Amino acid sequence: MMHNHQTQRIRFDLLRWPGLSRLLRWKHNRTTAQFLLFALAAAIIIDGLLGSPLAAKNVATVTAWVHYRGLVVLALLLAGNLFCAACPFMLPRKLAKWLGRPTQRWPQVLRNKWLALAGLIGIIYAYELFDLWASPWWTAWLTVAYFMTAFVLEAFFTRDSFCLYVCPLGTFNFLYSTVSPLQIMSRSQDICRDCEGHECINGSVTQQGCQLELFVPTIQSNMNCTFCLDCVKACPYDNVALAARRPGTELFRQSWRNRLDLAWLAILTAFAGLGNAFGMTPPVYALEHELAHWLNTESEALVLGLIYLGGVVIGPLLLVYVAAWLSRVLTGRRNRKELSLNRFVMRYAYSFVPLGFAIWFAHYLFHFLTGALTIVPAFQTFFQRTLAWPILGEPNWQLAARFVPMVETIQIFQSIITYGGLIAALGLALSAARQSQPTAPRALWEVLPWLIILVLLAVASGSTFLLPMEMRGSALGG
Amino acid sequence: MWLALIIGLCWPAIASAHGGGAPQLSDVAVGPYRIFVWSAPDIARVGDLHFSIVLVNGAAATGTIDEPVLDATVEVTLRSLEEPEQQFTQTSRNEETLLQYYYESDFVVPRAGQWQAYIAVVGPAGAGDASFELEVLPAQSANWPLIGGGILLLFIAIGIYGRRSRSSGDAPR
Repeated sequence: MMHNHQTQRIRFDLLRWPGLSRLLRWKHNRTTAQFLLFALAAAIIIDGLLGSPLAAKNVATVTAWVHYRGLVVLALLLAGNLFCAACPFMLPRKLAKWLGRPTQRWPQVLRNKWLALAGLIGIIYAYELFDLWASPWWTAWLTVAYFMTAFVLEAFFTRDSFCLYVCPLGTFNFLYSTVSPLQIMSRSQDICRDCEGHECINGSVTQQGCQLELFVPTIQSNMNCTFCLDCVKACPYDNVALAARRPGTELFRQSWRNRLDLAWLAILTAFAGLGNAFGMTPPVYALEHELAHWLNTESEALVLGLIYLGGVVIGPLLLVYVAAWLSRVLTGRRNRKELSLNRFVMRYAYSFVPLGFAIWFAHYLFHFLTGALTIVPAFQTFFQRTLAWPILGEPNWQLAARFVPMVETIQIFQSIITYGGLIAALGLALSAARQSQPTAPRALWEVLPWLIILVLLAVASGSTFLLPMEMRGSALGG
Repeated sequence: MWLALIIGLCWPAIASAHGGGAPQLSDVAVGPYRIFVWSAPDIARVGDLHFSIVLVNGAAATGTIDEPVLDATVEVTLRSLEEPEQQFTQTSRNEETLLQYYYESDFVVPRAGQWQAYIAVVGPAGAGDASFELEVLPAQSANWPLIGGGILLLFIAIGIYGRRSRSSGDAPR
């Protein structure tokens, strides 16, 4: 079945730009990008294990926690899921596929985002517990663990099961690529209708099709698209476009009305954004101290685990289910199916996506802007000290101080981004309410609890960004 | 484009790709000043060791944040308590550091054990000193033969699995 939202006229198609089109269609473009990021991942592992233990001087911590995160959110905002397109974990997976000759499909019961969501929360928890941003050693081991997991799963399961169902980083990218301005579309639905080979998904003799099983004419969203452009190269009719679109259209369309896993992913990832930023501020240390004293324990894993479980999982779920219950009560629903609280949660979950993205973006932008040029002396140190091959010269740490905005200036931008995300989130929630209710007053009653949660989340995040934060280097901030 | 605009608008101020660190001294009187010291990495190990130091005016701890002192000279001496002849000294001035309010000192610690950091401060209002001890652990290292062996075993296991898959002739389902 062809979806008519793709029938709109494509006004801007990157694959129609002469120079860029050739580059994007080049057979080896993805492998080249993967090799570049693979080399970077190798530098992360080598410097993390053998280089300076100082986070600010080590390629592992600087690139992984300052540059990778900052550039990923920038790419998502300005283009799309570019990191997955160049994912370095894909290269060893080709070897795994060749070695393992997998024949098994990923288990049916796990074909959802629950595992990836658990992994994402796990990584955020481990990030705080092991002070990953301050530990090149553990950052390197996390990278190794990531490679090994991808490698092993690829050896046993067909298609890109790891990307679709397991990878926490990819899942973060998938979720927030829904606010990206570019999307894969078919140029003509008629051509797709007459196509018999469906090479975009099945592949051809010389080109594999989409390993994530997305069929171009039915693509409704950036969700699950890695921007690999295999479909572009496989289509014999040159009928695939990398087109501009209104960011978040799939969110306004309520594309996943029955996917509780995606709904929880959208909600919990937004709250995890707040938790991740809050975890780097003085109040959380005071809370940890109080909780440890109250529980009479010295186990940071336990104390931090309880804080994260409460703040990132149970607390947010409690909030949204209370909101769902209030929506039901305020609108006086009678129909049994409509009584399901999950229905309300799935309806309003997607309004957390733009706000969640804004929170993560504001947080990562801070670290990126305050440490952007640190990557130069970090690599100089890596080559000079770790590899004993000083091809980049003496480390120039004064460079790290150049082009760094004032903290107060960045905080203004963080506020603009956060409240911009809130406006988009409120718009989405109101749109969902109007689709659900026949009259404006009833829609307002239904959406009211959700508006309150969204505003509270935005205000809490905006306030957190104004607190002294680790890695900020603010005087007396500790 | 807009990122370039942001950077352009916010032209230079301070740098802070900074690792925070473990607090060693907090609001301690040193002569006419009070001192705050952090060490990084959080767990000191053989190799790079970094001290971030903040000086503020006021001889007594008042619980309030006073004006930072930016025109003092801070000398940090790191001495092994087990081998006192192993001693290193670094002098730091605020204008030589990357961060706005900090004095910074970098050392390369050659051996594990107990070390003492002695900090002497000389500024326009007077002089003072403070010290603290810290334990330096051996550098982190991995059991490379074990890791290499594990990876090799994994490759062999996957290879055997792949061989069996091929010989059983299952088509992808």
